[in-house]
Amino acid sequence: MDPTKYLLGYLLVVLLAVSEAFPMSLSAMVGAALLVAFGVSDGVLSFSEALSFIDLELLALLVGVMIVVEVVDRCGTFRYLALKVVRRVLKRPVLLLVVAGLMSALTSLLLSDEAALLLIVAILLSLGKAGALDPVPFAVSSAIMVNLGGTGTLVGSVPNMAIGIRAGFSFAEFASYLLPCEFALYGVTLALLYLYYRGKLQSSGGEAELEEIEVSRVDVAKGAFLLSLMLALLIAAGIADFPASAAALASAVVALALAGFDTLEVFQRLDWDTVFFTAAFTVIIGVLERVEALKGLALWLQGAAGGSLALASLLVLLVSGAASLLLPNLIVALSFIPVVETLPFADKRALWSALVLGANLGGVGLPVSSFVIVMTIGALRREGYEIDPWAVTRVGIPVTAAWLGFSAIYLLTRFGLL
Amino acid sequence: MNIVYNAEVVSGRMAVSEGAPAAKLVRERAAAAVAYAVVALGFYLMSLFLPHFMSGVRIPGLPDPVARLDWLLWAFLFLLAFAFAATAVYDAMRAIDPLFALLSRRFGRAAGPGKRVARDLAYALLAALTAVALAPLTEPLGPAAPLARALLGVGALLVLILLLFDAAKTIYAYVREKVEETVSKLAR
Repeated sequence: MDPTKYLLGYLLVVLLAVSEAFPMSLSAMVGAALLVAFGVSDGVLSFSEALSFIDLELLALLVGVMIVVEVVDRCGTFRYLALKVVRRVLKRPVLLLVVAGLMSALTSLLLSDEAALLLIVAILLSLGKAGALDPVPFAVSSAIMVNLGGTGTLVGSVPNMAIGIRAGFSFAEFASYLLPCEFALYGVTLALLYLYYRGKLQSSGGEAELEEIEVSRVDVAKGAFLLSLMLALLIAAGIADFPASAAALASAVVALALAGFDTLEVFQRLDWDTVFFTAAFTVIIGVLERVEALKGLALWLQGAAGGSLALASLLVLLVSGAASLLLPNLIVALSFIPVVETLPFADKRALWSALVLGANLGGVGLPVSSFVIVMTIGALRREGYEIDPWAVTRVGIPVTAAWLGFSAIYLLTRFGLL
Repeated sequence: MNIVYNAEVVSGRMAVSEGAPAAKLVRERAAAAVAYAVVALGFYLMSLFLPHFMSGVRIPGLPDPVARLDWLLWAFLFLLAFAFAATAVYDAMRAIDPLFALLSRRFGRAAGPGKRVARDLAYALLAALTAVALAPLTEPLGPAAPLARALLGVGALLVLILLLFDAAKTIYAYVREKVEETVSKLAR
């Protein structure tokens, strides 16, 4: 079976998504329709088999987490906590850089990258308007930290969910492999950002008045309780051996029942583009696996690694990291999952961890590779701040290189590959 | 709300006022392209059948094939078909700019040159792969299947040519702009 037309279908999805010709979901659905049509007409699969490629467990986890996070966001918990913390450090610019960066990263552990960034950048811009600081270095640093955030937990990003489920990692297992690396990278990144921006960090702080937010403490507490409940259930799922998706869906049901928001409004606010993209792209990858179209990459990795798990892990890290410089992280993660699965190693924990790191950490090297960077530049320009996209690249490239370099050392030591 | 497409200056037959809404421009130019294509097909079909009625008639004193009336009629009809086909392609190409303005509005932000070329390539690939995917569906048509496949192929090829033309045009305009910028910098 010549897989050329199947690979061209994959390339089409990438082109449609990267050029923003269609929304991500529609791009993947067009590609899935074409690949399934090829597969059915070539007699390699039936339509019902193609439908079975949709990973329902992944979708359940994704939708469950999205519902809980949307409810918590509506409770005002994230914004309330962010404002509280920023007020405390307003007069100390270096500490503000650290706090804003950490808040961005920690918020994006749960919120989508875009939502986390909007939350932090909105606060920084209102500080800028009040004349308290120049928000540019703080906002760019936050965007970079948002990209880093969410690498260490199963529910931190959609690529993590996809990889974690296929790897069979529980929530606790996933965190034990990757959260130490994420926390260490916070330090590395903040140190680099401080070195780069040290001359530009200024904050008067004294006269600034941040807008008051109208949230009840009951709602804030409710949101914090629902988040804790979801995390507790996800940890319990690993111990009691039930699927993380069940824990996420159960948390979603409790959140909807307890918070008292309009359920339909919550549903409308979910990121359906990502849900449908994930469903359609898993079909694409299923068809590519069936016609062995990804075998070439797997064989190349296998040959280049020469039986060494350490080398294979580093290659997965670097190749997926380089790919996520140009492609959306989710495309990279979903494309590399079958490749890692076919590599002939009994213990693949290091390989899966390398894929998580590679797929998550390539995102800030170029302005085009990260939507949050583009969003930050846009938000700053709208407020009248001059910012050159290539100035962001001058920070992004060394940061990405440091992330990948540090991750390589982490993988070798954490999994005893030296 | 209609978006207004800043049309290039159009002169001659199908002139459309500058600043006309993109949707109107697309409709008019696409309709013109289809109309000219139908006329071109008509003349081409005539060029296949009509010359047979003239076969055997020769104009004395002229060399072959100019002396053969059937050949002269064929050449005349074929040239007409070619001229109308070229006009159809020209109108289709002029429909691309406003069409992209419409698509950009429908699916998101306006595209810069890089994204526009990537979109051209994506749509071209989509057209080719759609033709490949639809080809097996022509099988139940029996004897008409080869014709249906040929129509599918020609359709995909036309779309492909138009999009590749647009990609080439975009690259050319971008490079030219950059070269002119460099030249004016050097001249200062």
